[in-house]
Amino acid sequence: MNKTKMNRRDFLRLGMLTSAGAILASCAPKTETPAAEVPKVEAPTATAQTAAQPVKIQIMWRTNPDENKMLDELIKVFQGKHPDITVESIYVPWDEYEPKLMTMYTSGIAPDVYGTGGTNPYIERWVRGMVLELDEFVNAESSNFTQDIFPVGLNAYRKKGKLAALAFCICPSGVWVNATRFDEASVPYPPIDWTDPKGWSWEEVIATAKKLTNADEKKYGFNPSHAGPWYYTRMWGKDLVSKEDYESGILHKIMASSDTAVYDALVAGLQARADTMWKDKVAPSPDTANSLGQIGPMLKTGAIAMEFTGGWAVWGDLPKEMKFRAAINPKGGVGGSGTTCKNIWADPLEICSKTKAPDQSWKLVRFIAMEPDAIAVEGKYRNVLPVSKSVLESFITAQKDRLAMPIEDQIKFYKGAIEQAETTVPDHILVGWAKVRDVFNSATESLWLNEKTAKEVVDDMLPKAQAAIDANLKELNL
Amino acid sequence: MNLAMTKRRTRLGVQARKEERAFFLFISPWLVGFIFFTAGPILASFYFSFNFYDVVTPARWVGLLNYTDLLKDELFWQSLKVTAIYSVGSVALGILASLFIALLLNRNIHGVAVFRTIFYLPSVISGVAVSLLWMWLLNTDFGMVNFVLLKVFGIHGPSWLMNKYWVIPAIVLMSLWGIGGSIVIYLARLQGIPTEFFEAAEIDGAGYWSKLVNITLPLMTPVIFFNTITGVIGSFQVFTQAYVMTSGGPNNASLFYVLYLYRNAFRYWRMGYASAQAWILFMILIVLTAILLRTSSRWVYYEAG
Repeated sequence: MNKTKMNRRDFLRLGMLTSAGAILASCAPKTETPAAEVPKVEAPTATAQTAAQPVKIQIMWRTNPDENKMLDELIKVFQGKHPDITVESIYVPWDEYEPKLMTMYTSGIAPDVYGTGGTNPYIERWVRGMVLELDEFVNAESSNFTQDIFPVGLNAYRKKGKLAALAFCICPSGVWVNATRFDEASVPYPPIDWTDPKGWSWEEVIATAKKLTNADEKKYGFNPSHAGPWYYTRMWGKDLVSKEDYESGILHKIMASSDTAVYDALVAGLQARADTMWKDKVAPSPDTANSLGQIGPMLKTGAIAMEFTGGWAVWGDLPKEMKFRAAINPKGGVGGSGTTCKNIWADPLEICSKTKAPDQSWKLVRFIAMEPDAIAVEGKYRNVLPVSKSVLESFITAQKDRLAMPIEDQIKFYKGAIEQAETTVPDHILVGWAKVRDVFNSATESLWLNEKTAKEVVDDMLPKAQAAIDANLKELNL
Repeated sequence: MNLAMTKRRTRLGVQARKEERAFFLFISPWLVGFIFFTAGPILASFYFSFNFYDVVTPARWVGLLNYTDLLKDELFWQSLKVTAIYSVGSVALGILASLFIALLLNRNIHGVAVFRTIFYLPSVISGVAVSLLWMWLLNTDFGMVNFVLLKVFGIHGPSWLMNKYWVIPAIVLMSLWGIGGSIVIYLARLQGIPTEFFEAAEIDGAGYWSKLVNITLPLMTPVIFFNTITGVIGSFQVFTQAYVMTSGGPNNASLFYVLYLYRNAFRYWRMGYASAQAWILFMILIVLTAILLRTSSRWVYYEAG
């Protein structure tokens, strides 16, 4: 029998051929939907799959012990209610979430539902056609469904009139209070009513913080963790982002570059934030905050009495020897002439534009976002509020012991935070914000370290931010 | 061709052919892996460096635009500057420190094996764990580095990671943590130097320093040269420390080249731009290596040569 043997030359030829094939394959033009041409989905229809064989869908989530246990339990409950659907979870470390999702999508093996990831650039995905628009799914639901969602939950991810994603949980921005520190200093608790037009002025916050500060003991009254220019401009009554950009989801310009009033608000807001450390001396410097933060979360250790940040400040285990409360965000400007910053973090669920099971994926999204048994499961593992109006009160009541506030005050605070909320953070809803945020973060470090004034920093960072936006727009080719 | 092959096969013999087959069989996993997972992506990245490409949507050919844009990018130059300063500091300090420790560990003293293990041990710890550990060590208020500076020297240590002037020295200092590998290489070379050289020098009346300068160091130069090249290449690829400890701050003072490349690729969706950065880095390393190779004839001594 004449056997064909492979010699070294043949082997190398085969190797070169395979290599050339791989290179060609990787360079080949793709057939994906072009940028900004978001694929349309037909109205929900029955799947072609037979009822006898469960349809398998996948959902991807960041690695987080509590959240992963939560999702496992959610899937169990969901599959109990939908025996025709099998859900598989994919857990990915925070920093690897986006690269993995991008490569999975390009390879045609993306999960059907995108859950919470690391940096969460939701609208970046939408503008690149990675997600299905959900309007037709939502419209096919009864009117009770949409009426039961808080407006900010339904509108946070509405871009160019289309629903790019459905928010399923809300984390309010607020001032989180170590009530024990207040009690020790006999200082009255700060306000909780978001609807009070008087609000809580920046000067009042600083005056309160001074009573709670003892720098020698490294005890501070306040830590404005919300360091970004976006927050401070809003608190000082203006906005860095134009209405058109919010609506389109594409960042074209920073308003402070062309509008003097916005510029002034930005400078004043940032300077006030820097003054908390260097002039008023009620907040730890970045260096001190870094040191204190390594011992433990500063609010929980009592190193600070108030923290202006997201609701995660009071997540997880709270020290039993201390009590915690919440308060409304400060109102910037001289004598409270600005506005109370009313923003939330709304985490959404998205459906992959390439999913072969859109109906089943929507059922999962709907279940996690809106169904009471799912929300009850979520409440067991974390304190993020639901978007469903009808279960909010029972959700808060189930967790009433976390905050040392009467339950009616907790409901008033949380409900007010969601009802008054105007937007979620720009990281999630603006294409091109990631680079601008990095420009802002680098530039403002000189301000936080007391090396430059707010005006110097703003003058330095605005052209850089615009250059970053222009580079992004050039590549997007919208 | 068949005749030639047959002749060759006959010449090789049955055993040799078996060995050849075994060679190809055993090397094929690596070769296939290299072709698919290394060579393919390398060439693809070269192609993408001439495109606007975000991984998700089709690439658009833009010629040299990514390269010309990079040359106008302030952060590109900043990251290059940061990396170059770090490279000079860490490679020089690393060579001096590892050579010094290797000389100490080469002495014939009791328990030297334990010391060798101790000095090598830090090298096996992962970058993230080391970074977290050093964040504690370099903490301004509670860190051991500043504690020692204050208690032993009476100096109030700087804010290592939050000060734009100290952040790179801090990361250079931290790079000493990983010199265990170099120490082992130096040690191996030190133990390979024939003792006759030293004996002959001693007969001629040479002391420790004379032997070190005239025998040990010249014979160590090939290893120093090797560690310099690998050190320079490694130092240009620093990522973990900056990513974990400083995020490139304060004010981009620790924005290392690869950190900026990573941000462009995976945070700003600019894979084409990042690919161009990667190829520029490759060219820089080629040039630096070529310079080192060209100058090596002036200071590297090869016994056999």
